[in-house]
Amino acid sequence: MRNLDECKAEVFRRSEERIRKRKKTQKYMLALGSTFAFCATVCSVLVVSGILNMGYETAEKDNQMLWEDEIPNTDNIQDTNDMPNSDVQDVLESTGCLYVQVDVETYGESHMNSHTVTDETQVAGLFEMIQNIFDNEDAVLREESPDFETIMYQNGNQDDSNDLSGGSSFKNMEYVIRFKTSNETYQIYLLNRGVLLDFTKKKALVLTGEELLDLKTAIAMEE
Amino acid sequence: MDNGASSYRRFLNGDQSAFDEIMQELFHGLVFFINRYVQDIHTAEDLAIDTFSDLIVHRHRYNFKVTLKTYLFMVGRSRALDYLRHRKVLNFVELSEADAVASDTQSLEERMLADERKRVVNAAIAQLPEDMRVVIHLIYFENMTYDEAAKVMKKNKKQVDNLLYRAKKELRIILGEDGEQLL
Repeated sequence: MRNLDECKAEVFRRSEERIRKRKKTQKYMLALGSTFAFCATVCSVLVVSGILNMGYETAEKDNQMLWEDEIPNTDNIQDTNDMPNSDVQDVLESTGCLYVQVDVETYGESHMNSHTVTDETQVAGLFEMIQNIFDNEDAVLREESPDFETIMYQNGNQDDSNDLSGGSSFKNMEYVIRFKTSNETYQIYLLNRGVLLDFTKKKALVLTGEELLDLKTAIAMEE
Repeated sequence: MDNGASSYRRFLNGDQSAFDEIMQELFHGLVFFINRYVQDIHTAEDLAIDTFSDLIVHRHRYNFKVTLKTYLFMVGRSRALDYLRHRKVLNFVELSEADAVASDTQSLEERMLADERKRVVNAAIAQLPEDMRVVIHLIYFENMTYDEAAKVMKKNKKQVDNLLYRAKKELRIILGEDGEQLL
């Protein structure tokens, strides 16, 4: 059995050892806690930013849908006069709204024929063809293209921009091509004496013989 | 006499010699007490050293509401029971070491039990169950009050009283007619 001094020395030795071990454990726990806290912070930041992003995208989509819902049909446009045709075009372009129908009206001296195409592929094909004609670099450089307002005036048509669905407004035109979307929005092109008019954008373009032939062939299509 | 509380307060204030006083006053008593549980003087000494090192490592665990002696005996009892619970196998002592162990135990007993009366009782209580052994030890050898003994043994005063009554009864049987005079 040890004497009291030895026991005392042993008490202090063990105490120091235990204190050292306890400090080491505390440091380890602190390091572990800090790491855990850091990971938790990073994860929560990622999750929160993800949620915010998702919320932003949802809100954007909702806004877009709200916008689509708010696009008035042509009747509303006529009544309220609060949406110019260029806006309709922008909405159509931005929302990627598909044309589901095209009405082609052909005016003669004393008669009027019309036919409707509802096949989406044919409608899309015709729309693309007209777009290509206007977007053609060659077409942009055609300086002889007449002024839209002048043509409309010469043909005795009033520039009633709001009346997109009007049936009798274009009676002096040879062809009226009226694209229609599922939500009753119209895009109108007029063809008269080799000049193609974009009624919505108020643009006019003199077609080449080939373009005119192609377009007339295309609009003559029947379902 | 505050059984080391004032010394411990001085130790907490930086007086290292105060701890020597505490060791001087309480160490052997604690070893003797723990030996009642573990029945091995060297293990008891080891556990007593751990108990005292608790006073240094966990300086503010002792709240001065009980005497330092009571607190040390409480911690010592917990350590002894913990040791018995976790001891996987019984410790076997080599025959060559057995004499030394017996001699150490005897010398501690001689140091702790100054008078003949206590030595006789000490020999007799070895035959008692653990609880009775401990209560007799705390009351008769350490001169603790019933309250203090109850705190160390984690019992209430009434239980200690009953346990002591039954322990005395058993001791009278063991000691025979002499026991009447000793107790």
